Amino acid sequence: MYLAWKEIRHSKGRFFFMMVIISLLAYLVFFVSGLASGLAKDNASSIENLGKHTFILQKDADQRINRSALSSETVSKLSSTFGKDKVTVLNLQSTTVNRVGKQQKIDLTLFNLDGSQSFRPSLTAGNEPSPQTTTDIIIDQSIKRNGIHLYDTIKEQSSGLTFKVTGFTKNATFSHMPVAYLNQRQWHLFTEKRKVSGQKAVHAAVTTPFSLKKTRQLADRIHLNQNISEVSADTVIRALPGYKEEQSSLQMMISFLFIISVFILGIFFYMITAQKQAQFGILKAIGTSTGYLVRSLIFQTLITLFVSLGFSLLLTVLTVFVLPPGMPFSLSPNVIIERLLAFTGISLLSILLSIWQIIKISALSAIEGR
Amino acid sequence: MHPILSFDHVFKSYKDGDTTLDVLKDIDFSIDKGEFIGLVGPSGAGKSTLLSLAGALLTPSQGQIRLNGKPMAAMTPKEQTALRLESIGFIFQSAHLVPYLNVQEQLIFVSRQLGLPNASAHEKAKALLEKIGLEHRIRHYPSQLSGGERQRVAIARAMINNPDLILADEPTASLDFSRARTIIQWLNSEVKEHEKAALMVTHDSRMLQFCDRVIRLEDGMCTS
Ligand SMILES: Nc1ncnc2c1ncn2[C@@H]1O[C@H](COP(=O)(O)OP(=O)(O)O)[C@@H](O)[C@H]1O
Ligand SMILES: [Mg+2]
Repeated sequence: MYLAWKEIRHSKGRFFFMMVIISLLAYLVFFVSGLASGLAKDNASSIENLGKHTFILQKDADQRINRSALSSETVSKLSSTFGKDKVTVLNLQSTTVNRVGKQQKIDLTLFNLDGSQSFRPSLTAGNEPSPQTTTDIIIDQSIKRNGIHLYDTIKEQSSGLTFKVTGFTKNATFSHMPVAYLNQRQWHLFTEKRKVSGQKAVHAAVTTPFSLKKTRQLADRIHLNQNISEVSADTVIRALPGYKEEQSSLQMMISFLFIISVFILGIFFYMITAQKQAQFGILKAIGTSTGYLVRSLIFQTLITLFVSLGFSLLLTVLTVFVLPPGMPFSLSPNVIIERLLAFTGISLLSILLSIWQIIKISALSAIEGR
Repeated sequence: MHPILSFDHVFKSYKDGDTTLDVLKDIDFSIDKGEFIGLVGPSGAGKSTLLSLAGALLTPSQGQIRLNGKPMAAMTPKEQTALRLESIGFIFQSAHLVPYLNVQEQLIFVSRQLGLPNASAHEKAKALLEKIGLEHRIRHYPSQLSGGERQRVAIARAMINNPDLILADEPTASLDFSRARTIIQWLNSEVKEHEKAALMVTHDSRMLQFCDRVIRLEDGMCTS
């Protein structure tokens, strides 16, 4: 691509200017993407951890797991139909705690997973509590932001129970709250203490490793006193309070950045192509094929784009280093590749008009007086 | 033995709304190897149109144009572009150089499109630029050259592909007489030496002395 390269070298200024603009746009895209998945993780990583499972919720809960209440009867019927080793009962309760001796209230969510396939969070600090303990718990490490340290004692406010934090885990959050994992005895104690008279024990959800389709087939055979709905972990996550709003506003920003990039790249290449109409006419007249000229344009576009993307990725990496530790930011290779492909796609889209310009330039314009 | 270029009762008319404008009427001539032909006539007579037809930039309304015996009308646009690259050298009234290529790159670009390796493209460009006295300007960009120098580069660009047919539309309009004469004499000798053919539109009657024959266009018709 002799011609394309020579032009970039000769018009360094305008191409550099373009690269700076596209770099900044791409940097924003990466940054907002990182923020979006960071917030998603911060919001719902405890459910993401169960991503391969299908959830069975109360139908009236509108797919909201925190509203769902399955009766013990429902749970036991499901468990006998699916097989005891194929179901996990999920109990959860959002609540407030305070560090013993301190007034400051901290929001967190208590999780209790009951089943043979139940998920065990991995520890980042501290020790695994013994299975029968009534006092020791592990909590997501984000609670450190609220001044809770390893081996601190916290008091759950609705039951008055106190627990000792013996371990931290990561990626265990629910609705932006840290999750504390309770074992069966602890959960039992908790519900006993809280119980309002006459209230039956309820469970938030039943999860199973079966596919959504299989789960539906099995569940349809059971006669239950309450209506249930089967949904994927993704659906549960999207129904979490605030999740959709958070994500859709960030996704909208990303879309707009892409649209802006299409226009900027498109206009830039449209203008430089328009300036070169006469030149392209001459080149065609002396035997340069239209294909060569179109390939030159594509080459210039991709060079501009790839240099910009490289630079923006570098900026993103630098940003990750200077971000404060509590900042929800997460950028997986998959997301990066997806965005890179999107940029490549839209850049080719943006030069369609310029390609059309090149195709329709007539070699005849080289001859004087036309 | 074919003539390099032949026009066989060629007509060209433009449709302008309801009326048709007959620009060329029954043009019939041929140019043999080694011939340097002048094309003269008042403005609007159709000289540029004739040149565009010869260079496969336009197609005739009627009649047949052949290059080395091959009818051009039978070629696809792609083949016509390749033909211009390989067999025709165009020289325009103004140089129309590519602004971001320096003098030698203007020529190397054409050679590369013909598939020449970089080293021989360089060599060829250097040799040709020496011949036309521009070897001291090889790294200059068009904006750093005088009008006359630019036109000489354009002529070199037209010649670098070693074309069979040279088509020139008032190539010396921007040159002073002595420069113009040198260039035309050189073109003429190239044509003679390498058995090419040239068709040159000119307004300068002093240039006609270098032509083997002169075709006069008047009102779209050949008069001699
Ligand atoms: N594309 C076109 N459409 C209509 N008329 C044209 C077109 N191109 C040239 N003409 C007309 O054809 C005539 C010959 O033009 P041209 O070949 O440029 O003459 P010359 O080069 O001898 O001055 C002129 O009258 C011009 O107006
Ligand atoms: Mg003319």
